[in-house]
Amino acid sequence: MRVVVADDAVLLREGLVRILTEDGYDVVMAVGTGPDLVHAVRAHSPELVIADVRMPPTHTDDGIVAARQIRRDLPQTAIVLLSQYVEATAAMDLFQDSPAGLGYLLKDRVLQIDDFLDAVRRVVAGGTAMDPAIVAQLLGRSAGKQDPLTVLTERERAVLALMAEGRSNTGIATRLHVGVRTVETYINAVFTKLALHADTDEHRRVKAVLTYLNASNPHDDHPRQ
Amino acid sequence: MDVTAQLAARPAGVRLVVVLGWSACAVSVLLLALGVTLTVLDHRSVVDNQVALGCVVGFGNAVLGGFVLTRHPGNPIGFLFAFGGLSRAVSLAAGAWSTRALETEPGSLPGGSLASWLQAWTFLPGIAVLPMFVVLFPDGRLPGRRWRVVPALSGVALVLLAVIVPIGLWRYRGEPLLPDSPIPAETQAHVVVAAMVVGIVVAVVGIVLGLAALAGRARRSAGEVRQQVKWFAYGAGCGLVLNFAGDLTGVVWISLLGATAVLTGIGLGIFRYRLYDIDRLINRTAVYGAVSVALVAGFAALDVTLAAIVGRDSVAIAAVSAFVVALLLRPGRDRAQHLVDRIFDRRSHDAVSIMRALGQRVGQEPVGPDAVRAALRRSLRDPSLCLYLYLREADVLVDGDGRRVGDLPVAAGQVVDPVTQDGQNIALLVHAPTEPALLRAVVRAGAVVLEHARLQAELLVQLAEVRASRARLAAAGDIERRRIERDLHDGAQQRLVGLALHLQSAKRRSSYPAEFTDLLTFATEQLHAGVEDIRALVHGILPPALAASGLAAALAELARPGEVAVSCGIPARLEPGVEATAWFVACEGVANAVKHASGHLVRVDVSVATDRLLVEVSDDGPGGADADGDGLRNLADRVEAHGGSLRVESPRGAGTRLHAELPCAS
Repeated sequence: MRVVVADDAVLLREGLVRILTEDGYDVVMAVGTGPDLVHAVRAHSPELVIADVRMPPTHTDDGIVAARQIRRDLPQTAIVLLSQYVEATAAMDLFQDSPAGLGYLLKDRVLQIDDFLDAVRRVVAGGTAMDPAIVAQLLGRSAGKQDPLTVLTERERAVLALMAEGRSNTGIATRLHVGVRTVETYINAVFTKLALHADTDEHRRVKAVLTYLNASNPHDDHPRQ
Repeated sequence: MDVTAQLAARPAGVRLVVVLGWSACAVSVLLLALGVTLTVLDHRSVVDNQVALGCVVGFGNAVLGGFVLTRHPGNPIGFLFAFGGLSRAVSLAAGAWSTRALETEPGSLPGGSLASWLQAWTFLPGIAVLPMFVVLFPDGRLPGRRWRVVPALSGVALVLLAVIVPIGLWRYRGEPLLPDSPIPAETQAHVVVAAMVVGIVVAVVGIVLGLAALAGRARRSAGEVRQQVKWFAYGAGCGLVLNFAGDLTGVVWISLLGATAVLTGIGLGIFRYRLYDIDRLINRTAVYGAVSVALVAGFAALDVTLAAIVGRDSVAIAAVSAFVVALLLRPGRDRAQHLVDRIFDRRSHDAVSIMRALGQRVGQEPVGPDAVRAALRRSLRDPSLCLYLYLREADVLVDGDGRRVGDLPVAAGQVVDPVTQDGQNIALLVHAPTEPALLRAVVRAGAVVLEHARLQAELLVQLAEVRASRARLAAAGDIERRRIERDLHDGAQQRLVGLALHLQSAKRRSSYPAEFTDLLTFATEQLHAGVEDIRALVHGILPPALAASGLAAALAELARPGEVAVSCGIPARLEPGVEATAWFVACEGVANAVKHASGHLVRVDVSVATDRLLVEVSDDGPGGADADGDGLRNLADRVEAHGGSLRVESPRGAGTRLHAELPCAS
């Protein structure tokens, strides 16, 4: 499996290359800027891209800009974005477009190497990986308003969060130490309570959940005046 | 300190015409006094002998001539006044002189026959110039070319009455020409009678034509000029009719009434409608004249009374009298001024009263530049008036809100008048043209409030400068914070994560001895902790999300289910300084609440109301926060540096509410 890694911090980049190589990936190129990443992807057509969000030249959202370009050039490329901080807004439209083959993880997450590699594998397999901290933020964001999420039980909220992270029913069942059937019951309850269309397809389900959560994003809330 | 504000002095010097005008006036007054004195000495009635009429006409004209020439040296009306006054005065004095010299006390005075000749014709030139006076009133210019005929008629009358008649009368000088003597027809040459009759008829025709011109003027003019002309036309019309009636019936009272009507018309024009702008001049003269007379009378009365009481005259008594009189000078002058103002000059009096009333409010309530401008507008009846003030140190002109004025906005038809104090400009008035005397009076009365307004504007400017520098300092601090944040993030934190990654990777190879693996684990954990420390540190400095995605995104990071609820309805981006400040309020508020009210829900509400950003952090914890504590004081400073305000409500046992308002243009 061919991989391109993009990060401007050399030590971190080399670390990523190292653990990916050890895990059997073929890192064909490691670059340090957004435009270089786009070029490398065009040159090598990798199956997977792992990219820092904040890189030269602008040090803002260059990784996301590059990811958007890559999605247009080679839509089948799996992309895992690494962010230094909990800040989902910038990447949210990418996910709403299609969460398939897309991951968004906090950089610190790579230190839990097994979790990180697990997430990468999910994304490579066409799934989604959303960092739990970001999901928590999405959930917390709407907590101040007349919040439809308050109708959920604690367990249902946990299931919703894991769905948003992009986990499969089995993954959720493992996490919560319950049976898969129980998870399905919870999922049905969540979808009914939030008036969402229940879907067995996991990609579409993630998308629905993320869209739902992001709808209560303050950015879409234009001030009333 | 004696504050004396005044309009910048106009270039002035005593001009020859002014000297001539007042000399003529003085001569006229002396002649009138002489005539009256002689008439009284002769025990003759001042009314029946037209002395009173001569006095009224002569004195009125002479004094007006002086005043008008002082204010308007180029206006022929002033000369005509002076000429008319002199003409009457010479005639009156000559009449009284010749009567005494030739009739009542023959031989007591020399030159009786010359005086009789003079008295017979010297009043006539005054009548001859009347058409000119009427047609030139009030500005000294003809209302149109076709009215040139009126001065021409005046000229003809003048030749007839002031040249032919005197020459014809010369040989009859002596008793036949005495004022009261019956004139036998044969003593008068036909040519003289004819010249006199024709001259007077020509003058009357001229006056009538002049009145027609005046009526046209009244129709065309507007505002005060119209009023001036109107009153004069009434007076002159009445005067003409009454004079004829008086001459026909031989009743002097009626003629006197006619002359009074003319002068009243002119007087109304002068005092009510500020004709010739001499009202203040007369006003001052009246005040100082009255005060002088009162003081001298007071001194004399006191001196005599005290001397009578003490029983002898002494220097001490004079000194005491002088002292008492001196004490009375200022209040006496003020009272007299007040009285004269009220009687003569309603408008000016009202205008000055408005400024004085405002002056009395200074110190009792805030009187800002706007209030001063409003008072000036009311007192000058000019709603378009604008007030600009000079900052003394920088010599910079600002408006009432302390904003600098580059190009002075002056509308068409407006004029600019500087206001000076101790030789320095303190303000500029941009206003519709008005009477300089009124303006001067208003500015003088408003001296204290104008200076007050100037100082307030100065304060506003300084305050704005301090605010701006405070905001600049805060902004510079924010930039520095961003730099530190980036350095920590891109430098130290990345390096630590990279190191940890390498160590983790090494550990996974796992063929090391157990204690070495433990060491690796320990090192990795420490690096982890280091990364967390840096994350927390960076967050406190300035969260990257704030710069990257705005306030709403950064605030969202504060949210923690069950602990911190954030609700935020604001535009995506605001001005960076406002975003940073609002962020710090929210952050500090949440940190405090978590520390002091743990277990309670903290709410962060951020919204925009018109042009204010409202940030509120509230909890239902134990309350009792100290608003003057270091943390909150620093926060308040930050908020105030951006022109906002911070309020802390924290009653014991009833939660804490932190409320910040920041100005923001959205």
